[in-house]
Amino acid sequence: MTGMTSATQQDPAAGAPAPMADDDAPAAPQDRFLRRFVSNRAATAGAIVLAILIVMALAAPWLSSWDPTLQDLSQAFQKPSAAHWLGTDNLGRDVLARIMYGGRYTLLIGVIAVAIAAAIGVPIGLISGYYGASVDMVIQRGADILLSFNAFLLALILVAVLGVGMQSVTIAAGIGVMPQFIRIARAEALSIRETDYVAAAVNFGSGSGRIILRHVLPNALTPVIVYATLNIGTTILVAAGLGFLGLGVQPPTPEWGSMLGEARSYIFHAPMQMTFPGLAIFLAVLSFNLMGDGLRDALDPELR
Amino acid sequence: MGAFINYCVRRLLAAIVTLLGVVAVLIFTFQVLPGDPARVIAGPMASAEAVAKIRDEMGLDRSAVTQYVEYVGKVLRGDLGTSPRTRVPVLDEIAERLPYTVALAVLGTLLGVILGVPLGVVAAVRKDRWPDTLGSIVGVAGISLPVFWTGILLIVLFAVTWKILPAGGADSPASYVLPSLTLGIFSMAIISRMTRSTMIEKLDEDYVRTVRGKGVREITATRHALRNAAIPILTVVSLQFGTLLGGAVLTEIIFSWPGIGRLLIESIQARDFPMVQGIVLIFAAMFIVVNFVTDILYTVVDPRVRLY
Repeated sequence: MTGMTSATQQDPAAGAPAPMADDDAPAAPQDRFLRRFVSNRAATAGAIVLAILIVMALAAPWLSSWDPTLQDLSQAFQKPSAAHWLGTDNLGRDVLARIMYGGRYTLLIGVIAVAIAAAIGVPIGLISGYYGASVDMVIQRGADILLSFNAFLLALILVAVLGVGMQSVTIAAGIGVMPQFIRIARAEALSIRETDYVAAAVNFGSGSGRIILRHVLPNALTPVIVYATLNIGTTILVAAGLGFLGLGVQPPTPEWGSMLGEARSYIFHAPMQMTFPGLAIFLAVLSFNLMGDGLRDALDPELR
Repeated sequence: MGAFINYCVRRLLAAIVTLLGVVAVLIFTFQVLPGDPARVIAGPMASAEAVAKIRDEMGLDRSAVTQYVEYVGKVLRGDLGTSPRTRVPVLDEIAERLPYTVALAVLGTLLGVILGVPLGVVAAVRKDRWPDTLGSIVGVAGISLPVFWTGILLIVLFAVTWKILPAGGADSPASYVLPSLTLGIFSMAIISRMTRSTMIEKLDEDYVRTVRGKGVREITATRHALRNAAIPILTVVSLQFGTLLGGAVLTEIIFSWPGIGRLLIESIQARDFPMVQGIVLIFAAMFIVVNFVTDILYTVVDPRVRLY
């Protein structure tokens, strides 16, 4: 049983219950954080894959000579070749070009939707946690109601109301994952509220609004960013799922989810057509999840 | 015992309040819906009177509050309205197809627990060694896989290439395999990740060290930790049930499964709003009931949990 103690001796701060108590650290907290993140191979791999997907999306016109919406029925269902590296789809369009351009839609929807979710959810959550009492109770019951729909169903109902298209899907996916942000921000506000610096600000006569803006928000930001990163993956899955059902971004726009939806009709005839859009969604979600895990572990090594 | 009943009643009231809130969200959402549901239902050839009659029947000309009170009253009497598309009472149609969705969700969760818990335990016990690395890769890959892609890949593999399992429908026991597996893979990934992190925490606690200090075998120490990790794991199993239901919608579409998930999508496409409202209400109610039962189970599994 001698091996037992080694795990707890790695990091002297690991036993401290206070969140992120970096006061005694010799190096600046940011440096330690960055070093831990970079030393995490999985997180680095995620960052590299994501960087590749982003470059492919941005540089698509230079990387591919094919127009992603150009149809040529005589070239339909081509297998991968020198001309079409990933083959062609049912309308003879170049799959690689569609994947590259599609990244613009899928990745952008994920990031913007999460930004919407955070922009609405975080202020509500901070207010809920900071004020507590009846304010907290009302907000939390509201969050309970939204959470009982779950992200995908909530987004589905919203799309039914807002109609299909890129804008609707982004808003729907954002509001779908928003309740989780209320929860995260509330939990942070609850613990920050009890700190000495907030007590000091109250004693100096700062108003609640000012305290939330100047003290609670900045200190809650890091966990929120970690959570947001982990959530971009989920959000991409929600938006792509809507696209797959034909309720998201509409053809001929090459969004990955709707590409999969189109390919589904040819599942027996051309199973190849579904491989690459699905793989692209998987890789994008995986890279955000790996980076999110890495950020979380770097901030809170206890969880490793 | 009185305290326990008191706690159950309070949790039940909270669940009912949440459900009433769900109905409010549904009514409000469909109130602001663009387009006239009555016109859609009546069809393009219908006369103005016919449209007005439908509008009156559905109560669409009344205020949201009136509609809300009426809808809640009808739900309490077991009436979810009639589908204008199929002319069948919404509740009858749901009752017929719900068992298929429940079967899928239960099988998926069961697979998730059976595969996910051992995977998480092994990863935690062998932390930072190859079983942990393998488990982590399986876990993160599993939560990153789009269920609609997993499902299609399984069809291509087992139904198209090897032809050993049906690609869709629910006609034989064999047709349950692929849809359950699709949901089970996702469920397994979430459960194994949670089991791992909870077990790592519990394996480091004093009582486990004490047991180890007594020189028992590692398996006994692990058992002690697992018993105490049960509650957080149970929480995740119940919370991911909602996500699983969302996944079930996509899975049912892929496998042409006769459950309420596919019915939901068909109803959205046909603008069959009474049906959409009814199905979403049932989905939310299922989630709320599962969480309510979990809350009650806590106090049974661990008598220390008394949140009153």
